[in-house]
Amino acid sequence: MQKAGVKQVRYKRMGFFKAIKTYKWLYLMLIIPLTQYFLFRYAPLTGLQVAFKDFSVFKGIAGSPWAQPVFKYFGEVFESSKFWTAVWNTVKLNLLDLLFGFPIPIILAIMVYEMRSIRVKRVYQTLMYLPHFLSWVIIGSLVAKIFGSAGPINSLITQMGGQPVNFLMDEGNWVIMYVVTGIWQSAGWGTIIYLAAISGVNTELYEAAEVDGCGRLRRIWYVTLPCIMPTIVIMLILRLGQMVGIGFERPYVMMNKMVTNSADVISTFVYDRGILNRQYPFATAVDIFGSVVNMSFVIAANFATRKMGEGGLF
Amino acid sequence: MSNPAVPKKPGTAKGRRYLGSEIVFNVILTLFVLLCILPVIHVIAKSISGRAPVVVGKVYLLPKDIDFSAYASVFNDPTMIQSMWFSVLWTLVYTALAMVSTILLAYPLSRHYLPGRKVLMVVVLIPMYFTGGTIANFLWVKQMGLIDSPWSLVLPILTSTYNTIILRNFFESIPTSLEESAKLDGCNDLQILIRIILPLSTASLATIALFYAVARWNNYADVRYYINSSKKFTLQMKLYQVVFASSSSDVSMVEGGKNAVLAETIQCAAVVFSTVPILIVYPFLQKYFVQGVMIGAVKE
Repeated sequence: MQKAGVKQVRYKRMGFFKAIKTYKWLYLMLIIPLTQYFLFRYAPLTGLQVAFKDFSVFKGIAGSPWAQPVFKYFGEVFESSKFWTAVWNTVKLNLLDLLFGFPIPIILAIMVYEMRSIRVKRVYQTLMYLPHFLSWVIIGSLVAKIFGSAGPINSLITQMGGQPVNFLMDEGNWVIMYVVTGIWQSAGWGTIIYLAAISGVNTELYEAAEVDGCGRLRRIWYVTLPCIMPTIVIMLILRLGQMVGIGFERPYVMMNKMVTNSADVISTFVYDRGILNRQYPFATAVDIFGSVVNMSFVIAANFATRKMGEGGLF
Repeated sequence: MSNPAVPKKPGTAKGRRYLGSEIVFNVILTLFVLLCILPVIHVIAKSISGRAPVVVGKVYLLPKDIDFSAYASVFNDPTMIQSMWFSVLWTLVYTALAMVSTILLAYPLSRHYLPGRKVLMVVVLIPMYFTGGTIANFLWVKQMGLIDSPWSLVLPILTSTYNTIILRNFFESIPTSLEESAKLDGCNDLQILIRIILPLSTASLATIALFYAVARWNNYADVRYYINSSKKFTLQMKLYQVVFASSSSDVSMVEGGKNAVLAETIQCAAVVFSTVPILIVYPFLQKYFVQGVMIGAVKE
C-alpha cells in the first residue's frame, strides 16, 4: 500500500549544516528517543560477545578472555540434550498452536459478522476480547484454580463418578492445557483483523450470490471466505515467521516440575541457564541461536508477504 | 471498525430466513463467550465464599457461605498493598515517559521532508528484527547498575517501535496546511508539535498511552529478570508468589520458602484484586485498542 503522491515527491538535496540549521528543532526532538535506542537497543548487542568468551563477572565483558576455541560454548549448547528438547518443544507447541488456534478466530469472525443486531454483535465482541487484556500471571492463576486437583472441573468429574484427572502435572494433558489456554487468551482478539477484512467485502457480491440462490452457508463458503483469503494467507505467513520463538511468560506461568520435559522452551531454558544459574556464555549462545533462526523465519515470512503484493510487515 | 457490518445484509428483510444457522451460530458464540468469562466468575465466587465449601470443591459459579474475610486478609497484607502502589506508580511513570519519547520520535519520522529520515527509519526498525536477547539485555542492565532498580522496568522498553509507527502514520495523515500557516506565523517545529499536532491527535495519543499502560501493568518477565527485592515486586510478581510460590509447581522460587500455603480463598481474592484494575479500564481499553489495532493494520 504505497501512499501515492507523498513518497514520489523529491526534495532538493540540502547540505548537512543547512539541514541541521533549518530543522534544528526536529533533530533536537530526536535526542531523547535516539539516546534510548542506542543505550538500550544497540548497546546491549555488545553483550553478545559473551557467547564467545570465558566470561567472568569481575573482569567484565571487555576484560574477559576469548574462549578456546571461540565456539566452545556453541559446542556445549549443541551437545546439550536439554537444549534440543527446548528447541523441539518450542516448535511443537507452536505447531499445535497454529493447527488448533489459527482457524478459530476466522470462524468466530464470520459468525460474529453474520449477527444481525449490532447490539448482540457488540456484546459478543466485548466479552470475547476480555481475556486478551489479562496478564499471563492472572491467566496462569485461573488455570491453576480451575484445573488444579481441587478445582471445579475435577470436583465435577469425581461427582459424576469419574477418576480425577491430573490436568497440569501430566505431560500430555499439560500440552493440551497449554494450547487451550492460548486459544482462550487470543482467539477472540484475533477476530478483529478478520472482521475488518470481512466488512471490506463488497456487499454487491452478497446480493449477487443471493440472486443466484445461495443460502447463508454457501454465501460464506463461496463469497466471504475467498474474499478474505488474502488476509488469511498473510496472517498465516506472519504466524509461520514466529515458529521458533515463544515468549517467556506463557510457558513459565503454566509450567511445573512434573512437565519440564514437555514445557521447557527456548525462552525458559535461557532464563534457567542464564539468569538463575549464571551460565552467561552458554545462555547467550542459546539466545544467539534462537534469534538468528527466528530472524531468518521472520524475514522469510515478510519477504513472502511482500511477494504477494500485500505490503509485508513494514 | 467498531461496527463493521452496518451495510444492508441480504436476508435481513425476511426475518425468519437462515433460522437454522442463526441458532447454531448463536449457540457457538454464546458458548465461546461463556468460556471467556466463566473462569473469572468462578474465581470471584471462590474469593467471597467461606473456606469450608471451597476446600471441598463445592463452589462453582455462585458463592457459598458468603464471607469477605479473604479480602480483609488481602487488604491487611502490607506487601500486597505495597505491590499495588508500586505497580500503579511505575505504570504511570513509564506511560508518561514512553509517551514523551514516542511522540518525539514519531513526529520527526512523520515529516517526509526531513533529511535523513530514511536512515532514521532503518535505525528504528533494525531492533525489531534483531535484539540482543534475554541475557545480553540482562548483562547490559546489570552493567548500567539498574538491577533491582525500578528504572530497569522503564528505560529498556521506553519506546516501542510498533507504537511509534502507529503514531507516525497518524501524524502523517494530518494536513500539512496547518503546519505551513503556523510556520508563517513564526512557530518553530516544537511549538507546532505542541500547539497544533498534539491537540489534533488526542484519540491516537490515548490509544497509545493505553497500549503502554496495559503492557507495563501486565508485564511479568522483566520483573522476574531484573528485580530481586520483594519491596519492588509489581502486583503481577506478587500474585505469582501468592498463587504459585507456596505450591510445588514453582521450579525456581528463590525466597518463596517462608510463604506458608495461603488459603485458597485468599489466593482467589488476590487474583481478583489484581484483575480489577484491568476490568475497570476495560470498557475504555476495548474501544481504543480496537482503533489502535486498525490504525496499525493500515500500515504504509
